[in-house]
Amino acid sequence: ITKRFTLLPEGCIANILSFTSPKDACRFEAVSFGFKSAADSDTVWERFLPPDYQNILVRSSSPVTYSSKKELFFRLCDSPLLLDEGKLSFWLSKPSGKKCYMLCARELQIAWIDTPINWNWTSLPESRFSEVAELMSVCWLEILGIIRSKMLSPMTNYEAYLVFKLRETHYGLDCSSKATIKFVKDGNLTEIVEGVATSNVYIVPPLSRSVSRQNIDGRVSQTRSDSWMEIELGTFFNGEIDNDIDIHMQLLEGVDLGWKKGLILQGIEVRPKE
Amino acid sequence: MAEENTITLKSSDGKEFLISKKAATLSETIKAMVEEDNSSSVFPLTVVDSKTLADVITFLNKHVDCGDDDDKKKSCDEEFMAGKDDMKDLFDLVVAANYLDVKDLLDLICGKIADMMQGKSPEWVRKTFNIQNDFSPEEEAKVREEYAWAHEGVEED
Repeated sequence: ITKRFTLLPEGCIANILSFTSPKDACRFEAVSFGFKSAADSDTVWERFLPPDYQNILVRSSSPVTYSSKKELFFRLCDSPLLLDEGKLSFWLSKPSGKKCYMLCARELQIAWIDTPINWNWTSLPESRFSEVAELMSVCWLEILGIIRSKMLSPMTNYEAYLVFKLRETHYGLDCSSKATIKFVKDGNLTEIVEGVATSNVYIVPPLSRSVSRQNIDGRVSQTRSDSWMEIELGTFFNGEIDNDIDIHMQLLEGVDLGWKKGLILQGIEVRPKE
Repeated sequence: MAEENTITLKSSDGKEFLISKKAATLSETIKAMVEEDNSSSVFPLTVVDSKTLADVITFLNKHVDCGDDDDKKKSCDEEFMAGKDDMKDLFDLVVAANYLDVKDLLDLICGKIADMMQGKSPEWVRKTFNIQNDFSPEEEAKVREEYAWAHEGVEED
């Protein structure tokens, strides 16, 4: 074999790398100086950024400056942007470059949210958003987040999570809730375009009910690296871009109807399954 | 009439290929050659061998037939790429597509090579592409450390 690849101009190597993934391109920096130089180029990182990244940047609350496309990519992975007057948190998944979002609590449809004895608005320094919703006391717990399919990366498996904290004095959250993901055409609830996926989740594992953890018939919450907690509402495949499709992500406890309190809600996060 | 609409491309090893002007000028390089020299009918391509040129011509003819039909192009491209998994042949095609400036072909081949590189180690890339590692051990360690997350879950070979 002759040294064929070294005959390729750097532009060709960059073009090849632009068809890989951010993770592959970063790993191939270790191949040689030529590869490193190609893997740093704007050709490669322009392709890893979402096609509509310019439109996203102009919606940011704070200006985003960068000297290369690669720098911008990592900036968007490492520090989420606040978009649309702080209602939406946006970032990129580092290995794949896919879009991730968190809808703030104010953007969610929450049952009894307008009654302060049920829910209160407060702020926490560790929240991405200026306000979080605190559950004071309800029996019927219902939280719905809606995101347009076209905001997300196409042809991607996503997971939706409820992101929250618990007050030490939380109460009644250890019952089974229903988590549901459904695709709805253009706000028309009667037209559900795909099967509805519902599963059991527990915001607090029902240990106090003398059930061992292995026997819980549903998902339980996990602690995140940012000290918040999350519970998976479900997974879905976002296919070809369709302008009229909304994805509804819901948590509902409308069966047990015991009194609940002490949930502090930051929002609903949507990120690729990786 | 027929002569006006066809030209001859000559490979580096001296073989001649007749091709319609319409197909040939999908290559920006050949288009520029033809525009510059309207009187010639034979164009020598000194960096493309006959095996590779035959492939390129197959691609150009297929794309002329597809016109603007993207679905048709997609299935043509799949047909064209079937069985093309020899890295040496793919490199020859990249060099040719780059030289002849045929963007659709260049992207198609680059995408195929990228698919084959997915999840592979830097060592695999060096071996497969026959690339000299010109980093010092310290330099390489530094690059690997900077992107340690990108090396996780990858089989070393």
